[in-house]
Amino acid sequence: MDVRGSLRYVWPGGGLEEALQLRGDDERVYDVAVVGAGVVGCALACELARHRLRVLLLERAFDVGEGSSKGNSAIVHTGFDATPGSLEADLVTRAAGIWPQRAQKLKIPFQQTGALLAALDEEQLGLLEGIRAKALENGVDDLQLLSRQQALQAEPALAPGVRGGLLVPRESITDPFAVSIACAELALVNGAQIVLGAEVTGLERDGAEKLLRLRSGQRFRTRLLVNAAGLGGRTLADLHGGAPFDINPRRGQFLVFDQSSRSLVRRILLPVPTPRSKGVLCIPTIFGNLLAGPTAEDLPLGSPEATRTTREGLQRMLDQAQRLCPALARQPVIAAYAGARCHSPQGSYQLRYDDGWPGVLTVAGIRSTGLTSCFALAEHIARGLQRHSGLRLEPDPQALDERPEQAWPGWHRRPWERGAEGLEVICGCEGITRGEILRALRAPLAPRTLDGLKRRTRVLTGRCQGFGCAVAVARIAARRWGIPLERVTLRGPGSELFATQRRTHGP
Amino acid sequence: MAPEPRQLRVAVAVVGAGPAGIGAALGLVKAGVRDVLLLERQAELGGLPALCRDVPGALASFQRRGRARPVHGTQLLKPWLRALQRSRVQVRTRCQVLEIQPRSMSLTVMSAREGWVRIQARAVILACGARERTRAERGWLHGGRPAGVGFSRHLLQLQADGRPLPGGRVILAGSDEVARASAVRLRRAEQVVLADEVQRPRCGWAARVFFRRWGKADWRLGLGTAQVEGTDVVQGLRPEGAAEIPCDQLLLAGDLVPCSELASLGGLEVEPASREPVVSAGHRLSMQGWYVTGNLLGGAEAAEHCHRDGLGVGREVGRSVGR
Repeated sequence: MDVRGSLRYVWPGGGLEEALQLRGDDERVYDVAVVGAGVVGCALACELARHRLRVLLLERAFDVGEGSSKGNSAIVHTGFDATPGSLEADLVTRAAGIWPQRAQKLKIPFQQTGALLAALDEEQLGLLEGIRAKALENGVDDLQLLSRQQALQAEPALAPGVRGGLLVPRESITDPFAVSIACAELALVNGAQIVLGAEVTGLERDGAEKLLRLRSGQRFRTRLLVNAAGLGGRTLADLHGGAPFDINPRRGQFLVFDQSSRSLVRRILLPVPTPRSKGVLCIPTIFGNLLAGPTAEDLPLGSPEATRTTREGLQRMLDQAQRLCPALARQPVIAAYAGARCHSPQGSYQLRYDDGWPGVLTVAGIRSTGLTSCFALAEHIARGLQRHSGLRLEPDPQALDERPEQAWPGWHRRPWERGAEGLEVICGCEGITRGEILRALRAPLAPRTLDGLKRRTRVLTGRCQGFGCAVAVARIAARRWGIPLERVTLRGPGSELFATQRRTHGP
Repeated sequence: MAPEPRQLRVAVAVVGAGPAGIGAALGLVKAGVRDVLLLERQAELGGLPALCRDVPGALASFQRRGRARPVHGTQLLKPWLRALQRSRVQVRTRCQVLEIQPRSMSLTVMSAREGWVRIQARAVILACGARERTRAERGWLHGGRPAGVGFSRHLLQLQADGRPLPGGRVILAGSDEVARASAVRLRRAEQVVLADEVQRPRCGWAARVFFRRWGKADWRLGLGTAQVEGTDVVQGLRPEGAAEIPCDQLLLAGDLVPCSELASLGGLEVEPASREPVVSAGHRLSMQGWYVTGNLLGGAEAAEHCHRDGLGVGREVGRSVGR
């Protein structure tokens, strides 16, 4: 693939080769700078890069999709339960229609499993009809009411006390990491500049242009600025005097079950949402595992607890999941994780054009449905910028709209279908070969961290959680990156895997 | 693209070339089986002992039957590997068994050299060994997922590569023989703490006496549950209702669990709680023609013990398969 953009890092400490380091100020004037490379920022950069625009994507972390975008339930919603008439409902239902084709083009694994809302008592049973009516209002017209027998026949692992169900045939699952990666990669190929490790700490106005200053001192000039910084959005909005809004992480804790549990369910199992709670789901993953979660715990902004699991939280969550699917109690758990959703008490999907300064757009409160809606949201924002901020959208005839066939992640196909290169299996749990690891390391948006490599290949995510392959994978990556093993990091400088490096270079 | 697998037919296939797998292969040869295939996913034979080399700082901790002096893992392996070389066992390294089909007596294998291979055998001996339990499997370590959390096996890999070991404050989560051996391996570190949820250490007195000769590790037992602290990198372990134990490296040590997933995903019976394969007399698994040996049976037996177990199973399988 001919890459027209460039990828740079702000990576202190010398663990990165010169060619990838960001040096000095960038003198170009960008048309749009997007701050935050989560699903929203990446999808927007991808959409904008299809046009004749100079696009800059800045991200604080050392890979794309490192914030809210990585710790979710990986469901692509139909929008059946959204509030009718809201922007969210509109975008989610629109996105649901374009997902299958977009996933094919971007090489994002996608599977339409369907979902089943299970009513566990009379009160919940009574709510099903209302949910169906709401879905109809949202244009989702293929929901089916199921009797107790039909529900149990469809999902034998459901609690035997189930009273009835509602089938949502088009609810789907995806690889959530691949969304940010694929979008950012296509943006990069189409000419976007991506800078990772770039925390924006200063903003100035210079006529119609904005000057962005990074913590490390480098500056960028842009005409339009989009704040898609998710949980960091509040701090950034303060720099340009944006309208007040609150934001806080809403923690969701999940448990991952082994592949042997996957056959328990065919569809996503949901409880009937009550006014009190949305409930805990039981979700098959596209990787062949099973998930239970999430919890919903509101934490203060900036809390380090936002991505930490707790014994009580997991126990409570598992108790609820078992009410839906009792067999979960006996299934082997391979990992627990917590993700932080962006929650804003002022409401979800807030788009503020000319927020504080003209030409600044704040995108706030994109909650868990952002994974589904990101493609539609990106188109919506691009048109909005055209209307509100005078952005000229001329399609670039050179721009590609799909990633090549070999960009499919390796795990998505059985090893023997993937060609003959590098067949040595490095990760035995997931069957990932040396060739697949090397291919990920050579891709246009090549990862520089072990977590980044993990999200692209699935090494270290299997039942042994890196017991068998962590050192072998780190060795392969270190050789490719031209650094000693001790310098390999999990998530960027300061997160070395082994304390040998920390001890000699740490404080 | 390789749409069709290569086909390979053997009398007996042994999965895993650790002490037990090598023992099983040698046992089969002794029983007169000519066509034995030994599969190993690593580039090197020997399993765990192969990582315990005679390198500076390494500890000789393997016991040979009837000898008082402990030896290095590679020294223990030497005679076994020599015997293997002299035998007619076909050895294939860098071969990962991805699936087993117990009913059709076949294995789906990915080989670095040959790609996709399907192996048919009259009998199969599984000797996949055991691994250290993950955080989630241990169930008492919650909190974040910072860098600097690994497994004690990684120390062996670093040491075998001639790389430095963590030298600051290390917490070993675990209290069994493996954790104690790791503490000794880290004896040059500033501080080593053995931490566990349970009140009594999980290792017997003999091991305690053996390791006390080297170790000066601190103990923090009876933690109940604990939070892993640190955002980018691990900073400590905070037990519930107690002060944080600071560290710059956390290693999950010991607490082995059998690698029985190949068996369970293939449909062989496995005890759900312990993950030990269900075995009847003579190390037979729940379907005919399938056998098991070594630490895959459960427990954390020493290399020599596993090897002898393998030899016995190999002989027995050899007799039932015939020549």
